[in-house]
Amino acid sequence: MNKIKRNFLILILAFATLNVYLFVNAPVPLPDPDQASEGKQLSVEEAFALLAQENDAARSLYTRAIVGDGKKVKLRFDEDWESGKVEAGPLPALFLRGTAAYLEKSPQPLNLFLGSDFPISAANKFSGIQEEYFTQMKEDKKPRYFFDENTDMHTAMFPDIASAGACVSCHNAHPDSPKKDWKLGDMMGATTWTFPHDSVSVRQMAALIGQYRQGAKHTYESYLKEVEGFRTTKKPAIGKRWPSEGYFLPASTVFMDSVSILISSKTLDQLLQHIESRNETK
Amino acid sequence: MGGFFKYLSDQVRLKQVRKARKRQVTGMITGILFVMVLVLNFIYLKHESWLSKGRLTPGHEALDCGSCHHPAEGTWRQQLQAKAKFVLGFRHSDADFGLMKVDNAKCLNCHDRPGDHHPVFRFNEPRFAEVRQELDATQCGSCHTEHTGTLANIPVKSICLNCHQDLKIKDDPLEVSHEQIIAEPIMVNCMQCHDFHGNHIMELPITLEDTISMQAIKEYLNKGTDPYSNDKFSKAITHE
Repeated sequence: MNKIKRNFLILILAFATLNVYLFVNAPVPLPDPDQASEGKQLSVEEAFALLAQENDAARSLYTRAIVGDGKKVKLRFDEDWESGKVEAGPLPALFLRGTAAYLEKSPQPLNLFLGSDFPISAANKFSGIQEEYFTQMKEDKKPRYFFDENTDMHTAMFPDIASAGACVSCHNAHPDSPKKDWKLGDMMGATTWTFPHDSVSVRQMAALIGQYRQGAKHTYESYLKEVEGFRTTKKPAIGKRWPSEGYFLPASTVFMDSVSILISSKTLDQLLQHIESRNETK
Repeated sequence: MGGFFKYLSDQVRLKQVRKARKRQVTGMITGILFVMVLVLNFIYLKHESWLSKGRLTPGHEALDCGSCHHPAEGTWRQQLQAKAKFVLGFRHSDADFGLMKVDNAKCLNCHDRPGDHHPVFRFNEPRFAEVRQELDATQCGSCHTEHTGTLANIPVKSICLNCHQDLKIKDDPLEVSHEQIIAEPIMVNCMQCHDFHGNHIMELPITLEDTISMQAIKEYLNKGTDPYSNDKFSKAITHE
């Protein structure tokens, strides 16, 4: 009995000592990356919507002003643009893929994917839960938000609408395209975004937007780097002018400034609205 | 008489004490020598292989432990505190103790490159749920487990068919079409023509005769002897 009492006492003392060691006389706690920092919170749905419109702006600009106008002045765009086999730039889908790859390497756990029910590459065809939601989206062309239990991720799907002639003409002309009658305004696919938390702070939101823009800039710069390495193709002049003006490409700062002009005020307005609506509910 | 017995017992005890002391001294000398050898080894010799769980992946031989294993953030005490808080539910994420986990980011520090046909992040997409059960391609380490001495420790079978089952190629240049090969994967393994990450500069075979032998593929996965090509689109970043 005494032995049990003694052991119990030792255990209590050890526990108390550990408690003092770790908590009472505590060192500065390590930062918790999964804990949203203080400040106004946005729901993950609101965050996804802001990011999706950033993506729409950057990708539409790339599709219309770089690929669409670029083809008119004989700039080439190809799915093998990075392989060294061709001297070309990334197709719009690969521009998104490049941005998505950049996001993956960034500190925020944000993922971006592109898929369709009639993709050029069969490996990009939706299946499972995404196929179900995509079928629903085709009815109303509205985004879908859900929690995917398999990945433990908050997920959003946004319609990818054929907004530029280049989307339609390239897909209809591609030999591997399973659908040849795309029209402007058709929902050609969907972007899928995933994030592990149900909310983000304003500071985190700013970081996510910054990260997305860095990704777009990085991908565009990869294209310009490719252009600088052209050996058999005439190199377009890189600077302030756009393909609509001739055999030119805008520098990355010029390209990103245009993205900013297209979307920054809208993003800021919506961000402020979200913050305001949080204040009202408190 | 009594004095004689006392003398005898003292002699026996003295002998035992001397024996015990001799053992003590021998033990001490052995211990000191052992510690000296250990210390000298750690200072002057390549001691890291002692700590390694197994042989390094081919190509990683020149790396030291610190190339991948970085100290975790904070002091041990802070790390213990964070772990205790996590267990008690006062913290959202667990903390590393001692060393940081070796994750994809560590691998990509050296192996990241444009044009990867199968970048790990792509497999995080919800639609790959079934594929992830078969092979968790979201982690580099799922195929390239370090300390096994192999380049890739995956079963040589058609893992590709998990995603590329419906592959149809217009104007297929092959002697036997891709569709036929997929229908009868026993005929030829995808890896006999294609490398998973698409990093080799090579001509793809068109006839079955020109495909790389399975023996060569196994050698590649086990020992890193490259059967595809020595020319690569991009090479891993090295210390040099």
